[in-house]
Amino acid sequence: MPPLFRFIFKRIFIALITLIILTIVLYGTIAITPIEMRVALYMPQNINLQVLFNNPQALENLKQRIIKEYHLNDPFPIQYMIWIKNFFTKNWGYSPSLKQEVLPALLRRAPATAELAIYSLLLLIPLSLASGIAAAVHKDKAVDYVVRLFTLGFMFIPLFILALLLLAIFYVSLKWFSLGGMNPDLFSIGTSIHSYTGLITIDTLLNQRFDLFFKALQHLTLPVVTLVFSQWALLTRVTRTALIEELKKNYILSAKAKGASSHMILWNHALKNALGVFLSNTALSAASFVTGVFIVERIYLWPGVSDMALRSGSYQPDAPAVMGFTVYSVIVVLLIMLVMDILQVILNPYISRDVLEYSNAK
Amino acid sequence: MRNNPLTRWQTLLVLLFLSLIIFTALFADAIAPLNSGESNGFRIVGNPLNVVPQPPSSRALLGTAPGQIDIFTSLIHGTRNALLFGIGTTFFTASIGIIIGSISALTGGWIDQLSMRITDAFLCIPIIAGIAFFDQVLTLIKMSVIGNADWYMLSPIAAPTSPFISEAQALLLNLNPVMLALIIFCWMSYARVLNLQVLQVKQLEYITAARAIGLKPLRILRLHILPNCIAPIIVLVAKDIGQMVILQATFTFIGFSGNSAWANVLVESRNWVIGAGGNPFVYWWTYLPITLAIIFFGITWNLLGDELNNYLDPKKWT
Repeated sequence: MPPLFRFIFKRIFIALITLIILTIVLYGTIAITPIEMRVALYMPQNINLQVLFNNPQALENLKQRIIKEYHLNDPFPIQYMIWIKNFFTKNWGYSPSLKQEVLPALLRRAPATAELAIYSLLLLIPLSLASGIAAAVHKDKAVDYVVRLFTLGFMFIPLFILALLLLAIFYVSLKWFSLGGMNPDLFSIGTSIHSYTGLITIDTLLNQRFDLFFKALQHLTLPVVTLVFSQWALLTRVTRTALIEELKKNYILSAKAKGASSHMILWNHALKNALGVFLSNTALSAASFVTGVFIVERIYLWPGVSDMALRSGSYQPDAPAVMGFTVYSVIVVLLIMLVMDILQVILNPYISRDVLEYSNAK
Repeated sequence: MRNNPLTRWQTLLVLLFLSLIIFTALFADAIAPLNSGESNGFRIVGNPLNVVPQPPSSRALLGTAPGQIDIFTSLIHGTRNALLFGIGTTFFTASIGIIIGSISALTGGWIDQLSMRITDAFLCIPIIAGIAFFDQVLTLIKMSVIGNADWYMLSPIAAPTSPFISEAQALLLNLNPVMLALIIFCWMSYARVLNLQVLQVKQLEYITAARAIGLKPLRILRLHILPNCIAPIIVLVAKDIGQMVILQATFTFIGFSGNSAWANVLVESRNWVIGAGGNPFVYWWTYLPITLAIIFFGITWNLLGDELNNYLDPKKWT
């Protein structure tokens, strides 16, 4: 097997172990809640409450039946194994507040979130790389100062305030963009166009409905811009610092002595090594990126996945929905980290030599 | 030689900001007195049914939010709330991180492997998912304690168990899910940093000497290893205090019970941020002072972290 594939398999194995550790912790926390509450979460959908209120015996029977059926009284490892079995057989539970099964509800909302996240990442990575490189190359000159000033500012404006200000300026004052989420008229276009991917921008293009495509873009712009700016500052600073460190090293000096152009030094030597730091930082901030996506969804009323967890907020018990949401978001973070790690090995010759030769020697 | 930190103007500025925050937090009651029966820093001036925010006047220095909540009072008392939240949360995250990081590095072997694997696993949970999750678990526990009419209608099985609340249950009811989740999902950076540091220091010769004269491992850790590893932790603590408060405000704003006094006012006035008649700056006082306070708080603690880093890092002494 090629060493790269071996590395990828090893990395996927680690991701699976991570997922198992986390689900044990999460399910264990749910399991400490009183059994009455957990029984109540598994109430059948078609139940006559009035009959139950008047009949304590039927109530007790129902309770015992649910406890038996869902193994709520069994030791924790058995309960956990049953949960894992249900997880893989796509039985993620029934959500009382959504009045729907959890997995279909998640999958119905996932494309909207994916659209937001994908466009933000596509904008975020080139933008922060470009500004980081510009600042590092022109260190202590005007460009550098401007970039540093802006990054300092954006690092401390809380995301929700940035979102509100952008909303106030671009939506209310200038009226450039449509408000927030894909509102009902956009969502109902599913009936008039054929859905290939579930992503509205791509579906409208495939159906050659350019008017709807631009409408979707109008809705996307503000959330994407907010998200990009909230993460841009950190990544730019990381790129800048890494590149400056790299440009100080001796091999750059020797490249200069051999007469390589500064263009060559930057793109062929320094940047390749600085990219490793950038990618590993992007992987590490995957979790905060996903958090950012959900906050932006919430503020712009985007009909994405976060809707599930936040609708059932305080004083509205809905453990299956929240558990499904948590596990789903952990899986998304793990996937982003996986892709970034593999990219890092492919793109950075230094790391790839290390990793690949090491796994060969084994 | 180590410079006197008080000669740097940056340090002096940060200390000035910091003392301003601490002074405001300590003397909040004197600066903006509350009437009896008012709590959470909400002081109502005028008719609480009036939803139109009133501009700054002699009665309310920074104007009022909808419901005639005095913004100046909320600003001052919110500082105390934020400082307590930041310091409290960071104290617990740092403690967990220090214990896990140092013990795992000191014992080494499979314990080290396992605890670092667990640390990496926790890094994969987005904080918002952690908060939603703990919000939910606490809700479930609370409801079984106090019972809830709506939930009772939905499902007679979870009937209220007892109308009386014991002291332990009352404590549970007062737990802040945002704080709990931040404590449980933010200790990882401390553990990772300290783990690396202790692994390095552990191999130095004076540690071997300390072991040779028969000191107990915990005593070596406390007296000889930790003092040499603690500098980056102190810097992290300073930066985290600001960060935690920003996160608290964010999650309170989007609807979790984070109990941030600042964000609570922003929640009240969120519809007025967008403004009236297409101009967001008509009702500026409903959001601007509090926003600036949050940003000021975050920047101050971060700058303090930078200054501490300068002061504690031997490579930067000139």
